[in-house]
Amino acid sequence: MSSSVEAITVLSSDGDEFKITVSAAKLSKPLNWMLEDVCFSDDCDEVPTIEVNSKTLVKVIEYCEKHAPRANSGASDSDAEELKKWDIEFMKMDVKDILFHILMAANYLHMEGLYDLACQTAADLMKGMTVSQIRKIFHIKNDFSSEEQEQLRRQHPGCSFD
Amino acid sequence: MEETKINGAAPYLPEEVITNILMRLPVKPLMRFRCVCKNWENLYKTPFFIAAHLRHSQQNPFLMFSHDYLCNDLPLRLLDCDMQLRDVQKAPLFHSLLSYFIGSCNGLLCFITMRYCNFPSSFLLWNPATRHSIEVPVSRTINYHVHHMEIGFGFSTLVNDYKILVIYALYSDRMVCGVDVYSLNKGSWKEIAVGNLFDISFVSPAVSCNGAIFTSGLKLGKKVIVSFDIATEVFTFIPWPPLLDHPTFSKFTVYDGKFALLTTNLIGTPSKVDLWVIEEDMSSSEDRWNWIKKFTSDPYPCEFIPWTIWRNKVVVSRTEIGGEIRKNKECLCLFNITTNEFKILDIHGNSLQNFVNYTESLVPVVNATSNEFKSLIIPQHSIGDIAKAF
Repeated sequence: MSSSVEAITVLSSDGDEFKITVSAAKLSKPLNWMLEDVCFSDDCDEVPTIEVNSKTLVKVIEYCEKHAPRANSGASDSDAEELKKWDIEFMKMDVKDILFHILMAANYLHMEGLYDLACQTAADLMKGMTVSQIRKIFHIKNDFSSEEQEQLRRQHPGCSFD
Repeated sequence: MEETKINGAAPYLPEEVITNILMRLPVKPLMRFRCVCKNWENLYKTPFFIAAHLRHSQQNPFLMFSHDYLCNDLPLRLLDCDMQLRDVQKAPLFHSLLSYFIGSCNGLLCFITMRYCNFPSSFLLWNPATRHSIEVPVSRTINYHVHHMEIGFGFSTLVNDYKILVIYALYSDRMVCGVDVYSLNKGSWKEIAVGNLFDISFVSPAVSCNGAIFTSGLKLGKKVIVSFDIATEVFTFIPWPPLLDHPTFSKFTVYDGKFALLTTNLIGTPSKVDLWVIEEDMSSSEDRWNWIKKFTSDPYPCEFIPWTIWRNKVVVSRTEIGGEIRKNKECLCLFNITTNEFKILDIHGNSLQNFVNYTESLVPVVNATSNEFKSLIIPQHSIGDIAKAF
């Protein structure tokens, strides 16, 4: 059973194999259920697929391995401080290249900590963007008619649609 | 997940994920992004989003205070979690001569304003983040020379309403002569019975938390705390903590979502500050109020005044010795409740006061009767525009 192994192998949506320790996998509810349901011994040839691409999965696993010791045992304030700094460094990434993929993965894998962190990072990045940059990264069309735009401008002087 | 591609455009995020990102944004960029699409513009007005945004915002409250009491337009400042100071844009005080700060709740600020000296004319409810405000005329014509007004402002989740409580008393005999309550939802005042409040002489400014407004006064020469339930509009008396044989200065505050009291010795140094929290024991009818001393600071060799609790720290102001007379003569300090660390901030002022926790929010200042509220939105450039027009 799962207790006998320390790490499991999973497949990314691109078909690449990844190792993840059991304690790290426990940060994700669906992975945790998988651990309980599926036989993960050395002679078990079933390798579960995670619908996350390889590039994203590398980052997700990196996050899990870093956070697992603290999640499993609790930690001192200084550890928490250190982890916070690590999170900030970890999240220095490009929105369209990887951050949104991590958001989707954290949502899909029910990883509350990573999901909160990624949402907050996305929000912080948005602060400096223009309205048209926002539309572009979220694939949103400007659906205000010119009358509606005029009305909004009257209500909120200085607001910009670009 | 499968249609997402690496190195291409960003993936399409589900609506719930986008909502979850947006609720973490400060109000200013959020307002800017209302021009992104109709969905977003409408989202900001939904009670669900307003409440979710408020919950996030409450995790990082600002410390708000006024730094020059003698100034008419009541300059307010914010201290953020990185200890950076920010100015708050001036309140739209309409045509008032003078204003006093009453309270802060879920991003709404309440002021009382005076058009003529000693004659309170109206209350101002203002959301500085969204720049929405309404003016509420006072319920009675009174003169500050003759009447005392005890005022509180708070919110109750039970009735989902903001209320202003005003207790009127005569200065001559300190007897309570009337109690009025304003409901933001109803947009109207209502008089409630004075009941057993009549012989209380109110002494301290009110605070609000957990659906109640707390104030205090003297009843037959004994100090008592009066709690007003915002939902049921019922008053309850609470005894003071079993203090204190020597004179103390006390200040109401909120700790961990509960009504609390900060006390310090009035005379002499070293000074120390105590934090008392009240817990209600519903199982016992007598002695159902328990005061618990949560924190006692290390003694400090200087006199200070405790004001409030902000981010697990007691905010105190210290009078500077040898400072320039009447100018910047007070400075702000923080006592960390967990570590007892005492930190002096580089923030000075003349008569620092009105310390509250302020949370930026989208909470609207509207009620059923104020259909015209849009005309009361103060546009960003209005003051400059008016100046230019003249």
